[in-house]
Amino acid sequence: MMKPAKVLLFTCNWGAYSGLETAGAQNKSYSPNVRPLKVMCLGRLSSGIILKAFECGADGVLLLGCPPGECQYEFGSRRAEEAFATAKELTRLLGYADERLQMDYVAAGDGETFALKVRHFVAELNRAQGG
Amino acid sequence: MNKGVLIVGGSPAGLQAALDLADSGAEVHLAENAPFMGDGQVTAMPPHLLRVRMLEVLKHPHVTLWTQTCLDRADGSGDSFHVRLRQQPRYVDVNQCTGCGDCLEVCPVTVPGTRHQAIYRRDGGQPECPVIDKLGKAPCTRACPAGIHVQGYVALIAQERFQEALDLVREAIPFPGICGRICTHPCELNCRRNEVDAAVAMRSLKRYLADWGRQNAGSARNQNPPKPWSAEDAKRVAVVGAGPTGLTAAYYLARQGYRLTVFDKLPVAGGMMAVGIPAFRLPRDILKGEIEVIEEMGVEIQTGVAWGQDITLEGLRSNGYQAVLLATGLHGSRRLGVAGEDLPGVLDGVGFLRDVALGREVSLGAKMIVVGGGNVAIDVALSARRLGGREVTMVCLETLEEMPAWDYGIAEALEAGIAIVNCWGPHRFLEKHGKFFGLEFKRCTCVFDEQCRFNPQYDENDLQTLEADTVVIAIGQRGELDAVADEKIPVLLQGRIAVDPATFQTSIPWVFAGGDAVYGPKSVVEAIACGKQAAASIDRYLSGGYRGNGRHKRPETAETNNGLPGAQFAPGAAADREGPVWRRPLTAEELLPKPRVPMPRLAAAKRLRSFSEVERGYSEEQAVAEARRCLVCGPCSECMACVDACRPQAIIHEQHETITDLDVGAVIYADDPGRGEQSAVMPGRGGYRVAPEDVLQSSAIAAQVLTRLAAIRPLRIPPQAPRILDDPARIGVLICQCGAAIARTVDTAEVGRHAATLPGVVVAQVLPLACTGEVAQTMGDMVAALDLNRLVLAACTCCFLDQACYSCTYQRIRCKHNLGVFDSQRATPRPLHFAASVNLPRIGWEFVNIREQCAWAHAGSSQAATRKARDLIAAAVAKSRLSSTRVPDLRFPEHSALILGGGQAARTCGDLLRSQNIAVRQVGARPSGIRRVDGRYAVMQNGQTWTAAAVVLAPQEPVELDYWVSVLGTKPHRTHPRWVWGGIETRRPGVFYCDPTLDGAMVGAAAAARVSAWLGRCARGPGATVAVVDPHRCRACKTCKEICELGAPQFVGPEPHRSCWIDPSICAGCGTCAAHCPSGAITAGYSTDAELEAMMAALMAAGERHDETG
Repeated sequence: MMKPAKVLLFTCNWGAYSGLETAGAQNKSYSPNVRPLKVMCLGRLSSGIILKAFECGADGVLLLGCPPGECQYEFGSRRAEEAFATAKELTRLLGYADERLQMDYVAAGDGETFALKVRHFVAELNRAQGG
Repeated sequence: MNKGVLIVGGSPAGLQAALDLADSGAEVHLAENAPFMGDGQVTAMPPHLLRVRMLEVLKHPHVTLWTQTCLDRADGSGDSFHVRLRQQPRYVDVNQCTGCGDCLEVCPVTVPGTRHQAIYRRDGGQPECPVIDKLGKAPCTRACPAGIHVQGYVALIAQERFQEALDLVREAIPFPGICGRICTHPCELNCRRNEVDAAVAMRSLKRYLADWGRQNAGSARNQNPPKPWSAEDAKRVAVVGAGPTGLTAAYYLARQGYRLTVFDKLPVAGGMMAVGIPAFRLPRDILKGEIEVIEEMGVEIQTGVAWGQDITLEGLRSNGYQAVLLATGLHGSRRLGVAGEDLPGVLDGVGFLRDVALGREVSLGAKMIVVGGGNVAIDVALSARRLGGREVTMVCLETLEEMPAWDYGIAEALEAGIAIVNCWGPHRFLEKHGKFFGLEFKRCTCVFDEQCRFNPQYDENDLQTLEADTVVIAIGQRGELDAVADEKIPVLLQGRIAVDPATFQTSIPWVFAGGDAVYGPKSVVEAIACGKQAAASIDRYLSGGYRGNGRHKRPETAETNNGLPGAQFAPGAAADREGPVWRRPLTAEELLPKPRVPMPRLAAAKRLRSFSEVERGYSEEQAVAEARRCLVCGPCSECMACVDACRPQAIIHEQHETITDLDVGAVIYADDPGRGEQSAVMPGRGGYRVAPEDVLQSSAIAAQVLTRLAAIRPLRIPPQAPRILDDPARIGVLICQCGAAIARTVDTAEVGRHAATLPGVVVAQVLPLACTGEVAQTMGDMVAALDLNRLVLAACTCCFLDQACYSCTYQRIRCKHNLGVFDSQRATPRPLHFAASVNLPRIGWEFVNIREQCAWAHAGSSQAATRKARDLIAAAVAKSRLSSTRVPDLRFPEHSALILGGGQAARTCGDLLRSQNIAVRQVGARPSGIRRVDGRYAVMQNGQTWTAAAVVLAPQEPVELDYWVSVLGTKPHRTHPRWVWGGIETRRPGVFYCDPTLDGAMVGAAAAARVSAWLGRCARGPGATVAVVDPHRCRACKTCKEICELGAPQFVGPEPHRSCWIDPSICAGCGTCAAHCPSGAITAGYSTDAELEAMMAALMAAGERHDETG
């Protein structure tokens, strides 16, 4: 049997975390092997920390932040995109499948979208890993 | 002294004014008409932002929220208002409620005309504790002398929840089957359904429950077992008379743990229920079964023991009985006082029924007269027909309509072929051969006088004679008081035992009396009510204090003012309660007639063959259909299902409206004018009104109010002391079950066992509910006993921060407060206040949310949820081990503001700030640059530099965007004045922008309020997320300055030792600077790099192990 994919999910404290909480409150399920880790803002993440997640054994790393233009700190998500781009570049060099590292966003209180995006990420990851 | 401000309406404008004023140091009372802020208001503000505002208000130490409160009146006098707040009860203790929603699952009532249940909450409304929709007690419940929650059992039957319904009835009376058959049902007489068609058949529904209980005896008995026998050394109480009063009192006293003996002179127990009510109304097996339940509780019943002959008070006393209840009833018949009454063949009604019930020989003859028009007379006549009386005639004074017997009783008599002769009174008995032969009647012209008193008038000339073999006189009962007289207990004129009406005590303190012998002939339900009261009184007498006689009642002292020192129990509130229930207009659907389900009855032809029961009882379908006719008057039915479901015991059905008087310096009305009560606030000195959406106008009003209250000393909240964390880590892990909300899915014991094995963990403990004050105290004790220095709480709370986030909840804020994570303590207890918090200054906190993230998200898989909870806790423990003391360097400047501009806005803003003793400098409107320097704003203009803590930009003419970009920052994507939801904030904290196209006086005043609030917030100290720089590692490369667009990083110290200092007043805590600092000198406030790495390792490594184990 295929090993279930371990996913480290970085969420910012605002839009994405609120989506995570709402998904729980609405009993919207997703893979329990997705382990959330909250930071105040995705801008907190450097490319080094993102890569560290793989080093710790994550099969996939998903970054969920606030929708465009709705970052609580305004400049945070812009910086996160830079860090993400660098990390992406490095994982590509390392030969990682594209599905293993993704960045997306969830609006505050949108548990439905949160669960959909997490499920989608896990499904794509499993497909890439299994195939 | 701080006079405070009252704001009416939890609208966006009300919230804005509350925060501006409270941050500025004023004491704010916010009165919201609805149970929730944000309820019933349509607002343009996105829900997550509104939620944050509401939570900030809820946790603010200077704001007191009054929900369900209206402003009764506001009397202005001098500089202040005397206001009166009227608060409706919520019936849910917001300090105990965990928001788990279990109560919502069990409520059987849907409120007519709405989609919510009788207990409900609103999405997005704060506080997120449910409220019970209760206009008052339903008329049926109110009418029941025995205090049965009538609407409650009807509502439960309508949902086919028979066991709960039966338990609810049994809670109030020991005789559901008896009352279900012979109760005089005051509930039905008061039913609002009478306005539409006919009352709900509540008595028959109760009977259905009792029958259901008998049919399901095995399960019913198991679920509601009688209490074990009382202890040998329990106090002993004797009851004289095994009627409904005596047995009820015995039942309730036995439940309280007393040892009871009931004596009765009759050979059977039950009193009038056994010898006064014929078996065709109340089958003997039903009666016996319900008396057996009482006996099973340890009550000893001795029949055939007559007081006065076999036992005396003295004898009882010497046998160890410490109290006696006399419930001897009225077992004698009233006499006519007409000549010939003692002739053979003249019987009395009570004696006749007793002889029939006891199976004694009764000689009737073929023809019989029954004198009387009441229920006893009907029962005598019907019994006589069953015993072979062929010709039975009832004669009474009253007309058919006036007869005191029930309509259905009269109908039954007519169906049984009994002749009823109205308007005749006995004149004399006729004798033949020394035996009764007939009765001569005189015409009764009128029974009642003008005052409706019984005062019959006769026409002595209009006589008629009826011949018969026997006559039964059934005109009333009287007591047999020989024993009472022998014991020298005072008796009233009417032949009733004299008692204190409040305590049922006779003139002998340890002797109590109740039932018909005290108050005259009444119904079984009255007798039960009396028995309960007498039992409570005896308990009080023997225990020497108050004890409630129902499990749902709380002591009077707690409910009179709902625990608030200042509040009074609203006078007359209880009486007013009848009003709203009756005034609720019935909806069109409710007004549609739904005929009452007829009670199946034994065919008339079969009835006279035996004493078998006439009413056959509803089937399940009939009972449910009949129960669904209920109009849900309460609307809460008081079925108490929510009380049973609520694990934290937060539901209090016995609450009352309260009135609180306050003295405030100003009143701001920020509610929708459509929501009433506007007449209470008159605009004028200290009275203000603002549109509910207008946050700018409300800030402008706040500034004027601050000026008005300028004499007060602001309530500055002292900065919170930094947490000093010792090493090595000694960690306590606390796992909350959240009632059942977490424990239902997550195996908390297993999670606890795992947590205890983690490095650094000293103890792991499972808690039933973490967010209550009591638990916080326990945690405090645990910390002291085990010398802990870090705690990890796995519950629903998710961070240790003193900030309200989009996903925070009222319960989380309360939990954090209780644990002393931050201080929201009000000076005085308030309706929505937190319990005293534990003070644990040397404790580092980590919170893990295992409710939303584990128990609820993975509700379908207990194993996966448990595993995830274990890993999340492991990550938090790993983080906690690394956490250390961090002290942000706070340099708070003097209260000062720079106003740039010279128009109306600038003038107003300056005047209002000066009145609050804030130093103001006004300079030209076009500076060449605004920078943050050394904890202040520095404004450069014409080669000069001015500094101040806050800046207000107030140009007289619109200024092009590019200019502001160059003034506030350097790059085009940077700061620009923007309209956030507050209306005048810029991207830079503490810099406000007055749009010149708006009314200058208004926007200037609003800016003044925001400046003063911002200065207040700065003085409260930095948040826990503020980044800290290690100056020794800083190379002053200024990368952080490039990154942070708020301007928090500043460079301090002389060259060449300049290093970065992050201004805690400005830092928003995002941590982006820490991610980009090339020398690693910046530590992000929320989690350091090392902490993040440790958490990632814990989360991922744990996954590895699980894969190995399967």
